[in-house]
Amino acid sequence: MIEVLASGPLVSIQDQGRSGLRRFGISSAGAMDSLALAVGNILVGNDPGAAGVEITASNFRALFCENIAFALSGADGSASLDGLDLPPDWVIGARAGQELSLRVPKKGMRVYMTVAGGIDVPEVLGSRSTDVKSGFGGMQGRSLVAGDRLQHFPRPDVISLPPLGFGVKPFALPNDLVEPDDRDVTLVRAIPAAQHDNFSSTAQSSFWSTDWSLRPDSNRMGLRLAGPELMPLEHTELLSHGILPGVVQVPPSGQPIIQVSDANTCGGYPKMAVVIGADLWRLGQVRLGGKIRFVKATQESAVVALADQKAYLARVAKASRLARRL
Amino acid sequence: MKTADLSDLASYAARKGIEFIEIEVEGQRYQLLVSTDVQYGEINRPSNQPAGSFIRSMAIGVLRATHPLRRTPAIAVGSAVRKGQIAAYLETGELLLPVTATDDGIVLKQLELEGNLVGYGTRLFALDPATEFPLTPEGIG
Repeated sequence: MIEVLASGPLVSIQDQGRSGLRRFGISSAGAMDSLALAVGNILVGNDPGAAGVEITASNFRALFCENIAFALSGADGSASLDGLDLPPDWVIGARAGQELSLRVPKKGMRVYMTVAGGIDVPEVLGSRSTDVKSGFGGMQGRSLVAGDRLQHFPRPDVISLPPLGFGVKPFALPNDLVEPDDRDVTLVRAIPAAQHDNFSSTAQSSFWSTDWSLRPDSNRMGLRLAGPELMPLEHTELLSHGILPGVVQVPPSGQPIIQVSDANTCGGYPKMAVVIGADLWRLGQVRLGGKIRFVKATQESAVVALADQKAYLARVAKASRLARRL
Repeated sequence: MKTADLSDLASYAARKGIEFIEIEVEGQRYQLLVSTDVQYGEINRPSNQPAGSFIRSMAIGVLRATHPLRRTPAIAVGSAVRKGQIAAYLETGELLLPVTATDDGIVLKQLELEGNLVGYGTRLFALDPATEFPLTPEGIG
């Protein structure tokens, strides 16, 4: 059992989300940085889809009430376990009575804490994710608060870890998708969507070349971008239709919105592009005020990107199994 | 041992990255300390420094003094390090293993370059072992 001692407002239980229910109006929810959650789970020997804690841009403190292996992945929260500094993408065995503390990340936005066995909260509609906007799932449909007690499923086997734990290297992005640190621009690949050509060529080239700023009213439903106004060639009315996380809509304001984990299941705004599945996790690490630039991709390259990620996770799994035997 | 044999042994050690060999042949004991500074002079006997004055690698891997997601090294030359702290990382494929500081002390020097392949027992950092230290918080290591 792990007791939450201090928590910010955007800390919730998430797994990889609900699937197959959009036709009933149920959003996916799930970890915004799904890759980090998968890595964290693999490090502690869980299924990649086990539930963990998504800690968004906040301080966090927890008390381990038992000996348990846990991992931290995603952004670097300058974690400390009873004074021992822990790097990100790291697993270690906590002893009963030890306290974990995390700080707001200086780079990136979300830290994931996973524990051996996975967080045990009731499954709702096939998932343990918190649907924050609708108020169900996870820990009673809400963010975690001080005093919450997190249970986990038991593990059938004992994990053996080196005394100071071990870690894995982060996923290596292709060079052309990485900007120098000081620019704080996240490049995400996207495929032009159904209404892309309804926009003027000026609007299109603006869309693809602007370093869009993340507005403070962005959240788990949508990343609202600030930049030049994108105007359609002519105003058309669209019936509401199904949309997915990754869809980039352009509402009448001309300012794009990227739909993300808690996206509504349908919408009627014109769709300029769709962020590829393999890059959705990157959206989960963009900070408020940070910048996003879209890089045109194709369906073929998107499929290759997903395969690359799967291969990385397989290598992480192999490395973890090796380290647990050392 | 003949001089030629000693020379062969020394070359072998240097090629294999073995720093120190002690060998007894026909009642004679020889110690070879392989030095990377090319200074031809007296070979000093290895001083009996306590083991805690070096942080050693406990596995084979590429030395990463700085974690890939960070900008500053885990420990800095001139700063204090506590027993049980993570001093550096050894990279093998995707895996990063921690190098543990086995003693309290002040970091004197980093002995291997970032990115070097190091082996089991390689000295990575030289420490000045602390005789007195502020209270170490419990629970480390």
